[in-house]
Amino acid sequence: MGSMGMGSQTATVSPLAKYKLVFLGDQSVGKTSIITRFMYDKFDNTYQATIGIDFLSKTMYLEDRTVRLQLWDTAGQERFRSLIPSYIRDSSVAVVVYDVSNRQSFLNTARWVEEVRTERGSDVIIMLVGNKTDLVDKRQVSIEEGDAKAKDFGVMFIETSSKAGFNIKALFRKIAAALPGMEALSSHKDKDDLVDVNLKPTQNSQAEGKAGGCAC
Amino acid sequence: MSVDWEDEGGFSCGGAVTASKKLKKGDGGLEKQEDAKPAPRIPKSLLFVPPSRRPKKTQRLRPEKWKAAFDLEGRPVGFHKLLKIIRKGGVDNSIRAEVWEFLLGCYELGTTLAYRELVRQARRERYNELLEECRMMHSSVGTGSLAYTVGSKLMDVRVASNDNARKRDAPIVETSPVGDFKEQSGGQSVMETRHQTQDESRSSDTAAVDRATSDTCEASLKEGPDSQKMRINSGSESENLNSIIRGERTEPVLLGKTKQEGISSSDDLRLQEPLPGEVDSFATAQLEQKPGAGLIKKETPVAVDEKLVEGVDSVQDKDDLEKAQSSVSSHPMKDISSNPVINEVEDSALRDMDVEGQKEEDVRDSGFIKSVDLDSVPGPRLSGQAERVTDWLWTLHRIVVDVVRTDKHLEFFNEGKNSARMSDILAVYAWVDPATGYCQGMSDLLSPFIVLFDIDADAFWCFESLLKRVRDNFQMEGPIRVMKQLEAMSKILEVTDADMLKHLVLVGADNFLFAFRMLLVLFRRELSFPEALYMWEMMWAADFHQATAWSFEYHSLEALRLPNFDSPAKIYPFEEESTCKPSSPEQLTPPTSPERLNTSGSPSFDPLRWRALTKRRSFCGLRPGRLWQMNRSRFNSTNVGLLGPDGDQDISVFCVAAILEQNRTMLLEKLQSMDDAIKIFNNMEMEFKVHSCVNTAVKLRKRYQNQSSKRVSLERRSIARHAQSL
Repeated sequence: MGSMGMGSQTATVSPLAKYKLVFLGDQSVGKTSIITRFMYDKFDNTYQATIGIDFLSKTMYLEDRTVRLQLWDTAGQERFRSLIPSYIRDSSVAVVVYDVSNRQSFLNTARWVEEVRTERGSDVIIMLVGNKTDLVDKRQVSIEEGDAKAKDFGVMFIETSSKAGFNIKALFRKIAAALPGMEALSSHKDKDDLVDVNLKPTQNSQAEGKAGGCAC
Repeated sequence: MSVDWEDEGGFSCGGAVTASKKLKKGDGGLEKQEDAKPAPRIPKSLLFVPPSRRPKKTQRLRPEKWKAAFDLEGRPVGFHKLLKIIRKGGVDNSIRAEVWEFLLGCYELGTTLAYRELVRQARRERYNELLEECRMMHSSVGTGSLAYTVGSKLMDVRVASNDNARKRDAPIVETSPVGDFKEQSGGQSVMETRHQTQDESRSSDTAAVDRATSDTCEASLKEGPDSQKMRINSGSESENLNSIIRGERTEPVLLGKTKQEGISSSDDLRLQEPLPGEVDSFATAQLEQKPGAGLIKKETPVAVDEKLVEGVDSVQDKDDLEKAQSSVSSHPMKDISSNPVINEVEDSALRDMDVEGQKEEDVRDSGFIKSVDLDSVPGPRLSGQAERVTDWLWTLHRIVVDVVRTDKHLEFFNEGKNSARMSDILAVYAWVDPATGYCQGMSDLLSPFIVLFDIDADAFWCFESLLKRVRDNFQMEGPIRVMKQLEAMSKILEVTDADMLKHLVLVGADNFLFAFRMLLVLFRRELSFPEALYMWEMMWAADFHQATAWSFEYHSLEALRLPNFDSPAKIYPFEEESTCKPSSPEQLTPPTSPERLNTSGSPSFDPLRWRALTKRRSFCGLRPGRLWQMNRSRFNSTNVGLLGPDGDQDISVFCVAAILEQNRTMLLEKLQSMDDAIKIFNNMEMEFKVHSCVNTAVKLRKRYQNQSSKRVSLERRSIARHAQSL
């Protein structure tokens, strides 16, 4: 991976800065679904369990620049956690996902965040994502809890539903706004700044909502 | 709804007779059907490989050839010649299941047909016992429905698996959705009711519980015509379960024992069982009845076979069959393809199970323990067994989450009962192998067996044989086998393609993580389903000697031991051990005549000696000593050290090297980072043809081993020279 342009190094010079986002979280919290919703704006019930790692990349057109996001989708299985550090190593962003209808996955986010911090220190943007908000009846983790946890970790937070297409774009917009080299664009990372960053619209508009309980 | 495929996997060799006759189709859809007999047991489309991507028909191992490779008593002779054919061209679909059993070492080459049938029966019985144990812990197991915790829109019901009694009671009904799950976030409402004993919850639970927990099995039991019987049973079930939890033995359940106890006392018990006599009479009777070619002898089982073909698993008599069939057909399978199954399962989120001290409670909350009342268990709460039950229930949930998304692109698995079969087998496996439990990737490895075998027990045993080889990958602790294999890749490329290695180092892809998935689920994700089957059998044929040899490193799981069979004592007279110093692999097969069977099963049988042998020979009846010998003759002595259980000599590793070689030009150009590598491999942007890949891999392995042994001898020589000069 030595030759890979690190996002933070190339962001200011290259017109097409590359950023590596690694998706972490327990088994079946919806990591693959979030990525697929973002990439292709579709949702499928039958994603096979991710084995090892998957890799996708997408170009995001922001207001004054274009960035290339490399999305690394990891396996949530405990057994393969030892592989994760090699993926985190040169990532600019870690997206830690939990399932709002699965408290355990929420509790485990602490381990994932810790894993990232161990590997990357503070030199990384971490986003906590509570997915599957469409499961209204089964919710086990409230938005307030998620928000509090994120504050606790000192990371960003958003709730999403890849099934309903809720807040997926917002998630990536938030990430993009926080990317290194973006400071010029948004003087301080605040949710209000998000509106400044325009994604090139994809086919259908998602059921975008406000970024629920942003902590940053 | 009758099953639309024939049984061929049910019996190891007898199948070959039927197979050659009626299983002409289904093989890539190219052959025409000779007999107007039943529909193909496996949907054609499922095994169709485009002609350009499969071995030529003539290259495949054909049923005729396979049939001819057995002697009069059904012992395979010249299996090693067949290995070469399989390695080069794979196996014809019609005989695949039985060939796989040999390739995976489920049955020893030297065994007679009669013996194998006995083993098979014993294995089926054991499997059913284990299934029954699991069903006591969660009522969904073995019923054809999946263990959903919440979310009630469920999969359908299938005929229960192989247990006769169960079969009659099997709720062959279309399960209707039980309504939406209205659980509070903490699951409290459900919890209270679940504290009741199983009996109570079965008969007098409020409807609300059913609705709320939406345990489909429970629901179907209530609706089913035979629910009465089930309810009657339930009391004793919970007793049994309690004794399992207490660690008591519920005969014939072996597992209730602690490991240490289990070995000695259960062995003793087994010894007193009247099996030897049965063995003899059965085996001899069969052999007498059917003199003639080895395979024809198999007609007894084949007769059963034919019945099974009609569509119901393991129904042993006609009445059962008719009953089952009529009920099956009068209850059309529910079409679940439109149901958002996976979501329901994902929804059934795991709760705070791991929170210290809460685990057990939470399991109960989430609906796992319906039939278990841990509170009623006397003695210390959360004894080892109870904890194990709790862990298993937790695992069961994870199994279901993955099963419903395994191979969903295959229509075959849109049928709920097939997913349920997968879940059952994984659940039983997790129960007998708690050190492994369930791990992602295992369902990928299991699904082909579900397709090939009609009988769950047979599929289970084959799957278990495969897992023996790769268990390290999935065990909770210890290094991952695939990682060791990836480490070995550099060494291999150094010999086979140094330039490629240099390039990979340069771009930072020399950790070979891009090959992780390939090695973990054995190319299942990179190849289409039918191609993967070819790939597997070709690889197993190439690895046959090695795999069987170092499989001895791994002992059979305690719970899977079949004391009467794991020891060849009853079948192979002890003297044979000494006479068996084969010079060629073909001579490995010991003579096993009915007379010998008789002597060995006689009352003069020495239990001590027998037990000593059992311990030594735990690998499905295969004998390590001979196989090591065989290996030594096949690989020269310098290579023996390379045949490690680490898997760095697995043909799969060399298959990765072969893929690198076959895509060399493209990779050297396009692969500029580890990301590229992962992208190229995950998206299958490279050329990957099964037969040329395996053949190249075999060559590469040979080259690598030759080089390594040369290096070893060079080193030795220089050491010797050095010593001399001193």
